[in-house]
Amino acid sequence: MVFSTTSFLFVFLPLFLLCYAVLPWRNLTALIFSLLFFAWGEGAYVLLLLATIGFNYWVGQRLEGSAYRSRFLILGVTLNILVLAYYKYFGFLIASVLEIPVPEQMIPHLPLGISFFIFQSISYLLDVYRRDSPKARSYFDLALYIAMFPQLIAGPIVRYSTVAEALRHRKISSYDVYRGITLFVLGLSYKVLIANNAAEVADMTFSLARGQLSTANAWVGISAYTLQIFFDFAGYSLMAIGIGRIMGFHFPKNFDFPYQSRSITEFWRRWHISLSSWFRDYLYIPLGGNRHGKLRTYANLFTVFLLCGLWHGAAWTFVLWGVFHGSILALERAGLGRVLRGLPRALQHAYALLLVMIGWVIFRAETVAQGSYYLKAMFSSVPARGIGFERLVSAENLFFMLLGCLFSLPVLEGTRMFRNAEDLAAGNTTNSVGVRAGVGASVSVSNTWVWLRAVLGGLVTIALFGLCAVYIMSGTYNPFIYFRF
Amino acid sequence: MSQKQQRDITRGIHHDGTGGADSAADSDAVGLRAGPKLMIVLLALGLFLPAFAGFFTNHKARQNWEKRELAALPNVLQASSSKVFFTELEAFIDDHMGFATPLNQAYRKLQFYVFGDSPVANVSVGDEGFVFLNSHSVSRPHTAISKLCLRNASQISKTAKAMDTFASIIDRQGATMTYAVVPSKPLLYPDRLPYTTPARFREACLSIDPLQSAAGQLRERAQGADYRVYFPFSELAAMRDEPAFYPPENFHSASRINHEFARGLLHELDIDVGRAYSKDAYLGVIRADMDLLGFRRDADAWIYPYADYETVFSHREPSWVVRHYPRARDFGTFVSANPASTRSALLLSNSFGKYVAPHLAPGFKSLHHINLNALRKTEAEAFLRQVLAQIQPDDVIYLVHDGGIPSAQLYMLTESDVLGVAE
Repeated sequence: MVFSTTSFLFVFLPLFLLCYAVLPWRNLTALIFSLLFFAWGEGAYVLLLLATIGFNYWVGQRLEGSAYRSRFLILGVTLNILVLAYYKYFGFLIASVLEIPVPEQMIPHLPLGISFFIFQSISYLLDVYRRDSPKARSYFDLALYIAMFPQLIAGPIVRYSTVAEALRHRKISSYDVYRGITLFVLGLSYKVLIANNAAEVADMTFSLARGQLSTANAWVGISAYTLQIFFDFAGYSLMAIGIGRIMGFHFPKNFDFPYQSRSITEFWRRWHISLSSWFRDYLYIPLGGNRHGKLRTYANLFTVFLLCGLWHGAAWTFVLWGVFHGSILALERAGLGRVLRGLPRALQHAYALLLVMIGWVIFRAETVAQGSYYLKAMFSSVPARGIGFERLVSAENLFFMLLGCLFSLPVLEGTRMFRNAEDLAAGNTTNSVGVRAGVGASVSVSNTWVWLRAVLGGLVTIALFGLCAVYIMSGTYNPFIYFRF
Repeated sequence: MSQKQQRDITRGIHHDGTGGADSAADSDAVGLRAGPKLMIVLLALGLFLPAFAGFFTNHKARQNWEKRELAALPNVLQASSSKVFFTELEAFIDDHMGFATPLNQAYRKLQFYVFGDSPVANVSVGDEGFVFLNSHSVSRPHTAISKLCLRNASQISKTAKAMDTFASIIDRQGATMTYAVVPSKPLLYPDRLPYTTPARFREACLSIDPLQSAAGQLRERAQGADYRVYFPFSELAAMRDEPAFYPPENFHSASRINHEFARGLLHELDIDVGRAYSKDAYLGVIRADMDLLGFRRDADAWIYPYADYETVFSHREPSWVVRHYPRARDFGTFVSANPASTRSALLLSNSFGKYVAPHLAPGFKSLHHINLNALRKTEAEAFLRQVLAQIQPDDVIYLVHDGGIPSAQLYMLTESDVLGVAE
């Protein structure tokens, strides 16, 4: 089930919210709905999810105070990786790496979100081992943490320590609900309005045969994909954060306007923050980070990003993408970064964006060969052959893609309501609506502007949601590109 | 402090929502006061509104509008797997959601009016709102235009042969055969074709001499034959920019083009309609025929009352057509009390016939119109035999638009064995 579908928006989510608000057992309600959400898309694989949770709970209990805690850690992490490797990489290993022909039925099905929930499980075990986080107080706590549907299939990857206390003790204020709704609607708009329109252009361009892909078309297509992947993923993250907020959880921000980066190093501080910090904390730093000399640092960066690429998918294109980014990071660390900092800002931005777009060509291509000829089309002069701009990009596509270019920059960060950044917690500002006494409390005249802004923001939210509903109901093109993770 | 409160404190539950609880399922672990609770409930109710409305929506109307079967509610006991069940359940929910049709129409209007894009895959929107109907083929969506503007000699000769054959069938019945071809938008308005049409097709349509098109060629070939081919391209093209001549919103010809086309055709058949033919014409509004845009549009059009001819239209007459051709649509009989001639006519056509027939009717004592689009090969012979036996027309007019050449229905009729039976 994808968030931007009628089944989720108009059946599952309202039923969940109603039960969550009205029934006395909120954590149990959240867990049941989360398992139902998973089972909806994956059927019996919900048992795999429950089994991994059970196993990680069992291991986690033995990571505190046990004499063999390091051995249990190794067991736990290894088995988690093996589960991920089997379901995600077995087919790739056998068919692509070893080139052994294998029947389709022997390749295991890839359960939804397995990359995310396995990584969350590993982070739980490591945090408990390092004593950065307490062990789960019950199986249900851990189950809710891992299986919670807002972030189950596409993140953000949440650390157990972030939610451990909230699992047992959280308050939900009117502001939380208000903010959650606006974040959810903003994320939905990103996905349905911008990402889906960009996707039409990107998919059409990437489906063009070799002889039909002109230089102009290639640049149009990769520009569209650059927008699609950001708004798709950032939109989904915002929706997850929004629902989590309504439930009383404060999930961390996952994207920080990555396309305004001035280097690839900066890009990875802004893109999929929960994943990059996971790799930093659980792989890069344990490998030694930058503490063992330059060569070792470059090797660590390379290794981390090779695995990061592999995490994204079991295909050579993802491996290449990871290697591409790892290499550039190493180069920037080796001195390129210093050179870049001496350049005008505009050039730095252009450099970063160009390399990111080249990376997205590799990421998006179905095969290495396709990526290769696509890049060739971008950087050589191939004339158009019958596929004009008007056929590739409709006025509607163009409109939303231009909006996407605008909103890929932090234009909304100045607004209280629609900013992506961590907002001030309720109670830290005397001007926040509904902080003390709930919505509808009498306010002084000096807060009139606050109320007006809130009402205006509410109207904008409703209008955006209405527009998204129009698009969703019309059955428009609605792929979710991170679905395979 | 009440006894309940004392017990709760012992259990670690504090009524201000701050106490930790032993059980993860315990509600008081989550502090949710009345205000936010009400907000969440209202949010849930608001989100559920479309699903709730689905219980009161006429889904049959949606089925008819979208011309497809809606997904049925899956039987959980018969599902081969839970994944299949949930997939079918999602399809059912999608198809039975309330407000779907109005929201769908709103989306298509947004595409059309705000963005100027075509809301459906096989309709192109050109300059000044001209709509062009393309093919349904995903791989070759512009064949409706390309076949008009790119010559195909083999199809022209095959069509000519079929026309000869059918004409001889009609001739043996003692009737006059006329093939009438209505020029359509790509040939009349090639400069309005959208830029989404591939450049080579646009250029072909702009540069083709319409008299060299399939219809023009067939007209040329018919010189000296026992039948005529009526394709008045030049005359109509000269009028194309007059107000409401051919409504841009329509795929089918409508308004003045049909009036002038029919007048010219009747003149070809030596029928003088007189001055009453254009009497009391006025500029009105019709409903555009492109319902497949997902919403209905109105178009400015000339309305011709033809009052002096006292024509009465009987829909779905003669009734025997249904017996031999059950899926026939747009068929009927026009009977004029004061016609321009005492002849009877049989109009066999594609969908364009529905729009031209009312303009032809004043020229005949009776005009029977049958849309052949749904005719099947297995029905063709019996149908044609009945038509010729029952109606015994003075004139047979086979009418298509220029994009309707070649006509599969014409081939069907010529392949039937009516020739043998007639003899």
